[in-house]
Amino acid sequence: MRAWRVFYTLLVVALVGWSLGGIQNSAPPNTKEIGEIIRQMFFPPKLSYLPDVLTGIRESIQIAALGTAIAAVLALPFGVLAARNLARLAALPFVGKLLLNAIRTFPEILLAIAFIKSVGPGPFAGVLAIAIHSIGMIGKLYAERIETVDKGALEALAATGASQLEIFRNGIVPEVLPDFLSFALYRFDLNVRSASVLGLVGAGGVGTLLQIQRLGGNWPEIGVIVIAIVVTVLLVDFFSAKLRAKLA
Amino acid sequence: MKGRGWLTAAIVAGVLYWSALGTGFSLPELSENLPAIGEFFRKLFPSDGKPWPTDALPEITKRLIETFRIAISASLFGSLLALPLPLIASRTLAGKTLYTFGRAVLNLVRSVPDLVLATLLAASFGIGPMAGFLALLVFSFGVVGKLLCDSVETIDPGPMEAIAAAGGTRFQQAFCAVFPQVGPDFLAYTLYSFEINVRAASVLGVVGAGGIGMVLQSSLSLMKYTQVGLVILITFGVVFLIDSFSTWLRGRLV
Amino acid sequence: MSDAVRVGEPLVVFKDVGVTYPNGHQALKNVSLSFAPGEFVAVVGLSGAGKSTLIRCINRLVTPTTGSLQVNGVELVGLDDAGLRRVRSRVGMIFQNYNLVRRKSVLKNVLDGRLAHLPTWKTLLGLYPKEDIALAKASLARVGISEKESVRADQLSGGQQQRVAIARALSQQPMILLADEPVASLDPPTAHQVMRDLRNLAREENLLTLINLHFIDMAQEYADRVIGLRAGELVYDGPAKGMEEADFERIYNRKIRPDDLRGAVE
Repeated sequence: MRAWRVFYTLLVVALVGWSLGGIQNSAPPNTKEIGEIIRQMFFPPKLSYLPDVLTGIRESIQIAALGTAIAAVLALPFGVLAARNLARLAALPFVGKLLLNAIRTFPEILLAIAFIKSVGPGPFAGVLAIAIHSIGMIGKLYAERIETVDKGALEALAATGASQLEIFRNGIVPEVLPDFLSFALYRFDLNVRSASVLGLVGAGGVGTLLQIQRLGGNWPEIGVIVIAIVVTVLLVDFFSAKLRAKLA
Repeated sequence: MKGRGWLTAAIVAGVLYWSALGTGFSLPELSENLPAIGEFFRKLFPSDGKPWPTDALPEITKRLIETFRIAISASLFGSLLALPLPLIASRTLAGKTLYTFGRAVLNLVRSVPDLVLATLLAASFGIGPMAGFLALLVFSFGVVGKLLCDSVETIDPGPMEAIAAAGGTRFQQAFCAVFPQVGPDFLAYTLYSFEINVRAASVLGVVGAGGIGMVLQSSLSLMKYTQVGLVILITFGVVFLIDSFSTWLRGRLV
Repeated sequence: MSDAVRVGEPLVVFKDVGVTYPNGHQALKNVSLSFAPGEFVAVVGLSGAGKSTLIRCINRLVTPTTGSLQVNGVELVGLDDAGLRRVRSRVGMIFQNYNLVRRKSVLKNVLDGRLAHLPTWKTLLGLYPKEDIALAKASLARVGISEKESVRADQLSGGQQQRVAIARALSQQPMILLADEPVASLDPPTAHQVMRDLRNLAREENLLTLINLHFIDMAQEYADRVIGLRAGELVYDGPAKGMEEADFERIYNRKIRPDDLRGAVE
């Protein structure tokens, strides 16, 4: 027991040492300059730039809303496929979950780049990236929720001679619908955060402004953008949590 | 109830319509673009029996390793830095004023998207893995800190009382009664933040913050699409494996 | 506080102690009591009568809102943190739910009793002095579970866990032992065993021991002196031997029922 603990500790220490060794920049950071950057960004904030930023924020929210809605619909068949208690074939839920995991693991920035290269830069690509990526997590949550549906109620419905579709419509949908909405809302929350950075690669939203100002090194503008993103994320977080508490 | 359901549906439909207008998204537009999307994905794979561009493999391997170094050190140091957070941001260990302040700071830290932070850091620290490391460190600090504080708030307070009764200080109560109870949780949260960081580290390069994303960015700008395909396949495969392994490990911890 | 128990003086003195909780509940009303070294005292009463509050005043886990409370000559009301920890370091306490850190080993749990003597940085590194470890092991030996010292606390039965908790209190080298419903979670044979252990330890160490008990027959069987509380007021203070039916009815404000009795072990 003690020997294992020593072994694990040494392993972790070695891993950390090796990892840290790989993190070197060509030039050491200049702390004086960083202080100056922070001063330019926030003291005082360049409020005259705020209207432009708010337009970008609006676009980010629109991207997140539409992307989430599309994902919430597209995730339905995946959720049903991956739920163990609905499966006719034992292999299907396994394949379904694997697929959902794969989608979830695929970074949305990469999806965004792919869509930009094929349909051109702009919010359209952002919506697609968010929609596809979100299927992974929403689908997984759907499946797990369906799996907790009371089996007795389903059997009772089956005993009345209801068809599979009728069982689904009357036994499962009413029970899971509020939770499904809650999952979508939660994902929307995360997607607002994502949609605010997608613009860094050209997929629309407030990130587009961040990218432009970053290349120009315009710190006062960047400061306003960062403040706006943080406030938006906090607000959406707050209201989404409130709404979800109501749904529960 | 029925009426409220319809009202909600109407509001959602309104928001979506507004969003579709703002983003220029529509189904005809989508179907018009589908061939282009298909065409792009086809370009990622070698055609006409041509091989994968294996000459890029050394660079890919090097940057992939850099990705993991960033993710590992950021997760570990971020988590370690988060360890004392329950002292200021959990109801169990912090007084009311300190708690309110601690939670506010924690929420603020967590609300900055990691790529925004990486962008800023890359712009001030210069291109390279340092920016990525720091950005993900802050992320791990935030997420592990929050989860740990939540965990600490659900522990059994009995042992704390016992240590207080024996003359232990508040710090000793935290260290000898609270932390031993959340040890496995802490490890699980560290692993969880590592999973997210591996994914995040693989795209940091697109803003110049080191890792495999750097290769991706350069391949894209040189329009070497099969190389892009190779990078994506390898990255995705390795990230998927690590993610699955870490998830399995977490399942065994709790 | 001088570390030695003062000879010929009472060890704990309550003078008009009252406790009112922030929610307005008055848990203790003008209680005056005094206890000598070596006394073995049972505190009885219905739940909510103020038993817990009374003994928690003695290590100031609960702070009296009125009156004065002295432990070995030190006034607890208004005492600063360092002084309070010094008093607490010599007052052992055991609890209904043992309050062990379940994921730590038995020995580590017992060593928690020495924390008041350990500087912060040594706590961080887990550097307990040799004497502390020897003391912890000796305490475990006294409660008869030396062989379990490296076992995790959650692997033990309830009775064993309570013994570890007693060992933790013993390792403090206490002059007072407080026990808050120590046998309420145990089955009758184990409960009697724990009570016997506590009484023997108290005699050997000349410890002032205060035990909250729900069951009056156990109080009568083991204690020298019984304190009866009803709705925060002291309604009985006298020897355990010779308590009458009427005394119990005064404490409980009703006739004695079978569930007020634990029953004998045999």
